[in-house]
Amino acid sequence: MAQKKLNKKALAKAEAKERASKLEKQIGAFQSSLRRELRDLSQILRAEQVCADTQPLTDPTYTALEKGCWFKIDDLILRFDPDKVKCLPSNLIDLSCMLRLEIGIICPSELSPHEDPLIQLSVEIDMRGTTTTDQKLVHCWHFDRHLNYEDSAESAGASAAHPRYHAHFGGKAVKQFAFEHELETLGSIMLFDAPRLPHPPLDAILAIDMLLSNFNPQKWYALRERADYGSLLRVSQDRLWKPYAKSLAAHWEEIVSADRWDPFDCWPHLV
Amino acid sequence: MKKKVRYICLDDETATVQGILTRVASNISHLEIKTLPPVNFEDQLTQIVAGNSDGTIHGVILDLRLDRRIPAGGERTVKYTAPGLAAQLRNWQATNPSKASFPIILWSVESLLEKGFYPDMTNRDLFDFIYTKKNVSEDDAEVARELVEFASAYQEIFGGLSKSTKVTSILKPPANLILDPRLDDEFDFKAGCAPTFLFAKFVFEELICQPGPLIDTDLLLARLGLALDSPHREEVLAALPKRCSYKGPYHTVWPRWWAGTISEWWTKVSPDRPNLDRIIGPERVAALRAYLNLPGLKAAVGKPGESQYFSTVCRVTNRPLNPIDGYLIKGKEPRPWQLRSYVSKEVALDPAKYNFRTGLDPMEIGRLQKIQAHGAKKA
Repeated sequence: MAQKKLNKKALAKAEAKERASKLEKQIGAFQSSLRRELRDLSQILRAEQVCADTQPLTDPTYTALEKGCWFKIDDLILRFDPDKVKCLPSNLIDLSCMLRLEIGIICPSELSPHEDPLIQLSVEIDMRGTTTTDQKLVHCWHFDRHLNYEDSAESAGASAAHPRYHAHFGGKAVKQFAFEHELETLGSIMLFDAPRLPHPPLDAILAIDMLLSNFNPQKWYALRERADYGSLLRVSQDRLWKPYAKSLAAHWEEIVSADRWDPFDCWPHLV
Repeated sequence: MKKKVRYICLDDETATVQGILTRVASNISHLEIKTLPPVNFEDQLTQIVAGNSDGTIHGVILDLRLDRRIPAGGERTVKYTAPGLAAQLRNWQATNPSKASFPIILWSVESLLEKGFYPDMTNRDLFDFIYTKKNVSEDDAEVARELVEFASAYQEIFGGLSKSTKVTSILKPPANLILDPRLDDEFDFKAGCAPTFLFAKFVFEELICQPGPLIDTDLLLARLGLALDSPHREEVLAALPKRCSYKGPYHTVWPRWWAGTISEWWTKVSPDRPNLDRIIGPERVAALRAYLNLPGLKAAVGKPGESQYFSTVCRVTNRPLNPIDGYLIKGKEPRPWQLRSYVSKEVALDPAKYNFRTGLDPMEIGRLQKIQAHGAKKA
């Protein structure tokens, strides 16, 4: 009897070890495929002259997580033609955008059908302009995943609506700009912590696509003509937007699942 | 007592250059530079190879135009130039990887290099370094150090290749620092079959001279937010853990730091804000002042309106810079582990003033022209 127990224990240990080894291989393969996607994106952006320095995409920082991986892209710079962007003030002579991204993503093999594929997301878009009078201007957005959603007081109804994935104008980056330049106000512009608008999550590919669609539509259309760019977009949209859209659709459909991603997390305004 | 480092210098104007090279060698007691006129091609090869084999030649300096001298009433002494000889020497080195190897240095007058060397792209890979005679004359002490370092690096790499032909093991990274695995994809040789010069040039050109896993002191201190003229820069460097400092080939004359270790050190400097990239320069320096007890540290501030999230430097002035405010320098397609280099706006707008001749990446030209056009309108 004792022997049987021991055998069972040993078997369970061996099985756990095998599962862990299998998971490690799957996460490694997933990490490799993410790297490949970023490398392919970097080559496309160079080839289409969208971005001069794509090194942040070819050498991001990676860390393996329990069920997936985390990576960080720092200081990817896109330059836009200020003559082709409608802006107030209208006398811009230089317009640059810096993209910073941190993403924690679950390996698809570990994902349940209705589970959120991300465990962390922070996308910062920091735009800097220079006018003809040499005035320096800033415009920042961030696209985040709400941290500690389950534990925070906000989820208990204490503060403003805070969708799980949201877009927010300004925030820390603009406050930092004001601090750097010793500004007590931003002219006549008010800067609030709210609103945080529901927005589908963005990875590097989706963030760059979003930026180009808004600030360089000519390049955006050209890129979308490329099959390789379309493939990359499709993979990212499948990975991030499909589950997001499905979670919202679930509000109007009967989906019973323990891992069901609560649509109210994404869109607190739903009733 | 240090082992002798012996160079030969082949120049068709030995009388003219002897003085310069004697002055170079005089800076370092164990450096010898013997100046010789070139002899016929086969004998010249034999002489150098034999000298390397018996340990009397650790490096070779070649004048570009070995073929210019014509004795009175006679024919040219030799009919080959430095690239021709260097190509044959490299071939010998490649086919005799088990023999100790040596660096090959080119030197000449600037005008001859412009006319007779730079236009020929096929020659660029033959030499470990190129000096103008003016550089050597004006900076003899530094040239001496560099010559010794080239020879020393070759010996170190030759020794390392007998054990492993992985680039990452030649670099001797600190424990647990993961380097880009593509570094080891560069070469595919068995131990004992790898030509030293390929690895020596690769390490020097692609890792020492280009920022990437290794960064130079100015870039390191810029990332920490320090001003170029900050006091106590040396104390900050001394306070870094030993593992941050690169100790592989070329490190004595070209000190470098492991970029990946700096962010891990920063988590000790600023545990509340462990992400160095997300803090502006003055706040990084405030944290350093407290951690190192160096209240006199001076923060870099940048030009008015520029970002203070310093992550690079202007490659001409070395002042801390964020790439968003910089202009990308023209260069060959970088390797995956390399970082691109930038210059500041003032250098881009007035390259002649700063002696900046490399030029900007083509994608930056339109951007610069817009600013220049506006400047011209104002004037």
